[in-house]
Amino acid sequence: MAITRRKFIGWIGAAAGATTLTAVNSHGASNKEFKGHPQSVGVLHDATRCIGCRLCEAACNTVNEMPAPDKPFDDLSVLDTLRRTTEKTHTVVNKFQPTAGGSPLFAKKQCNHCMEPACASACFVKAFQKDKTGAVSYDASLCVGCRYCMVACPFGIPTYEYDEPLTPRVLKCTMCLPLIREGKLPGCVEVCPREALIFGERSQLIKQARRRIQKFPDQYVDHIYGETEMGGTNWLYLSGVPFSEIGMREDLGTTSAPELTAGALSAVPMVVGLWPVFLTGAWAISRRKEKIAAEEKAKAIEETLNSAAEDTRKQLDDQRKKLTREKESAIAFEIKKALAEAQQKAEEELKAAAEQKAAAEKATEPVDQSTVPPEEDK
Amino acid sequence: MPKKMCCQMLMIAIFAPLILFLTRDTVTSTEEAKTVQGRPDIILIDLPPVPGGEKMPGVTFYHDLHTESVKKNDCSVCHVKEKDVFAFKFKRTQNTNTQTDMAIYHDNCIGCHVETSQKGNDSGPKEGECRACHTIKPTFTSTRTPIDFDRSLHFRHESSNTIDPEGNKEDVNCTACHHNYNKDTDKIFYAKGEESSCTYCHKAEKTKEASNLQTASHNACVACHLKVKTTFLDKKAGPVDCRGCHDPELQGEIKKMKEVPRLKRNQPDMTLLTGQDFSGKSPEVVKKALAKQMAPVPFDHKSHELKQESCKKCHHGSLENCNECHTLTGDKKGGDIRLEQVMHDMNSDRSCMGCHNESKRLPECAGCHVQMPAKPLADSSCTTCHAAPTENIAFETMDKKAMAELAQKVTEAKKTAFTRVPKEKIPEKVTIGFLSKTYEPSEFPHARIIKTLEAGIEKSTMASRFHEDGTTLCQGCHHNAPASEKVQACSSCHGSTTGVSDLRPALKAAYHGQCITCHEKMKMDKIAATDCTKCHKKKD
Repeated sequence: MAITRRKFIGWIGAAAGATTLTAVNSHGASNKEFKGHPQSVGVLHDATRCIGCRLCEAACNTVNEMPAPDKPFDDLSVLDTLRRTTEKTHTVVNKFQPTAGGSPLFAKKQCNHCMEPACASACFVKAFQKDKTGAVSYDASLCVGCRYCMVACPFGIPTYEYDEPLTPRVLKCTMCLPLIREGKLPGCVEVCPREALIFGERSQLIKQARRRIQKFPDQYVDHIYGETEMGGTNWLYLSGVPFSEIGMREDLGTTSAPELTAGALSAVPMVVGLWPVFLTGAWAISRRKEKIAAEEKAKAIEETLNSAAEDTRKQLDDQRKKLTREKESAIAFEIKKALAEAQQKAEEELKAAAEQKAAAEKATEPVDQSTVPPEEDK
Repeated sequence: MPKKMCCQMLMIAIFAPLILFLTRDTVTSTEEAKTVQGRPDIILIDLPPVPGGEKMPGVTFYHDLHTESVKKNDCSVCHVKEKDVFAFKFKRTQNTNTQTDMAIYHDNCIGCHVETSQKGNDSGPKEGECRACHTIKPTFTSTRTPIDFDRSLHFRHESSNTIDPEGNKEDVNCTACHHNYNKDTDKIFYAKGEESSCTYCHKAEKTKEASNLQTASHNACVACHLKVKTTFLDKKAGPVDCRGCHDPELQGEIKKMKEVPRLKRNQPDMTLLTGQDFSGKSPEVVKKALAKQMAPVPFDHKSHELKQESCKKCHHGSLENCNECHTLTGDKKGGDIRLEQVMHDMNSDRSCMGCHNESKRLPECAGCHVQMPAKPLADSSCTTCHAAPTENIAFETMDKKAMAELAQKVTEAKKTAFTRVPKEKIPEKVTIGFLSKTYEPSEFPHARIIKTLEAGIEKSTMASRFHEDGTTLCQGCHHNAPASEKVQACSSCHGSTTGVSDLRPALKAAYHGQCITCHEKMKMDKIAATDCTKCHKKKD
């Protein structure tokens, strides 16, 4: 059975559809909803308690052995400009003026340690990894410096050592993983004078946050930021005003970055796997078609040639026959003519003889003409 | 279908979702907020469309701009009189049909504009400049703010000598504005002692029986102001232009009386809230009924009344008793909201508890109260309000007077109110040396702080009522402990560290939390929360 091009395309389409569907289904049946590593830890930042003293920034600087900042940490005029994390400051506190008026609000910003980190999913050398503790850790020895992580992070956290000519690293908050492993508190949490930051198991932090909201419903927005944002983060937040008012994105949705891209990425094997097949098929079809065409052409030529030869032969035959016939008829005619002439001659001779005889007979007796047989040979 | 097209569609089918996935979050919206100047006098003239006809956008009309340019206070340039009062429609008393009304506007507006410009004055758009008036992008936005006719304004009108309504025998001007409506005769009449708020009948939208609030107030207020201004030539007469009443800035300039006497409408000074009407009932019935319900609440109507800007703060639908509509078991008239609910609803600023709760946000109160967890109704002290003892009092006659007397008696018995904790029992200073590694110990002015709080309470009758026992004040900081003169030190509950499952902060955060929150909420801005050395000096 020959495969038509139309059929082949149909099969490809069906295969593509089936692959996509099964890919999604299998994904759904797998770890679509990652609930985080059990007993993973995190930090709860209660923005209603933050007074903007920048002690956390100072502690972070000390713990991570970073260079001294341009302005000292007790200079609070720094808060007048909205800042983001840099390679030299892994955490910043920003000041916000609430729209409803009143005293300014503060919110600390650092890596949120997503449960399913976008940076780790974007990293193709696994330099970023989600640690079992809950921290998103970084291995500079693996990093190739592509900075995809910086593009991927929905919170705009990872920063790059652009000033480092030879071994630039991507830097961000580590949740003080080395300290945590020693059983100590992260630097910022340890130093916070108002417990605006508390450290503990993520599940416990959520419970604690809920109890605070329940106890003081007037003072909190009824939402724990990070409980579901981007699939959940290990750093959680409470606020007394909508989170967008303290510089946090509220448009992120509850789906983790890897899950968001999983659909598209699951199409990649299909595209990568099926494309060679598809293209080879298309190529084979074209090739086959060319071959068939060539064959058909050859056949046609042969047939044409054959039929031409036949025609010629026929013509020649006809011609020959015709000629033969003509020749024969000419011969026959000649013969006939000759015979006729001979007959005529014979007749004339006979006539003459008869006349002679008759003349003689006249004298004697009449001669019967019919008794003389004609000479015949055909 | 051509094979090429088929292939293209297949490609699109494969790649379109991919591209959509990747571009999902990159779409951001940027909104530019433009600041547009506002005016309080914008009127949108927008006649209903003629069936089948074309519709131009409505005209944004600046009323005060026109009153300024025509002769001062001469409304007759644009308005005609109906029964000696100007009708606040342009050159007509009532709307007819769109074509006629439109012609009135076009002829008169353009006519006047042409006339004005012929005189050499600045003028508005003329014929052919349709879009100058019919614009969809007006230069100004409306800043029109409804005016609050508060108790101060009410008293100034009530006591004004200029208003002096016709046939008024008293020295108050109630009859000038207040009226009732007789359905049968379709006429309004004045009934002494039944004065109510305009909004009870004149709603936002016109009803069968009453015009809408805007028409009613303009007809009454503006017409009267105009009369006073033109007839009596009184310069103090109220505004006749839009901005005088509706400009948010000018509203602030309206003279406010410091002390406003009570409204004169026979309202009680004291009353007893029994939950239902017992008038005419036998003492037996009353006793039996009261035995089944909470003790009545002696209510100081006078002191509550004087603290509010308007009666409408509580009496939102009419000036009748609350239980007229909100019955004990709920009635359709009161939207099926029971009396208990309207008195105790924490989320309403109209209910007793809601309003009391609201006042906890005052700086004097917030320092302590903001740090107290939300209490369910069941944990509240009922007897603070439900104080009238039912057992010892004979309800022979449950008339208003008797009830008021009883209420007065109970309230007076409670007048002792707030009692300070004896001075000698209050430590003068407390030294907090917890952070003594880095900082010198902090000298906490314990007595001075209590004195400030006590002064705040004594200022308010309500606060005094609710803090009868001086030791309740101690609970502001020494929370979760029974009210007592003997309190525990902070460190008896707050340790040097805390766990994540423990709602109690560690000692350092407990001190900082309580001190800083209180300072913030009581608006003591002089000491910044981040100024560590203000409370404890740094060690050298």
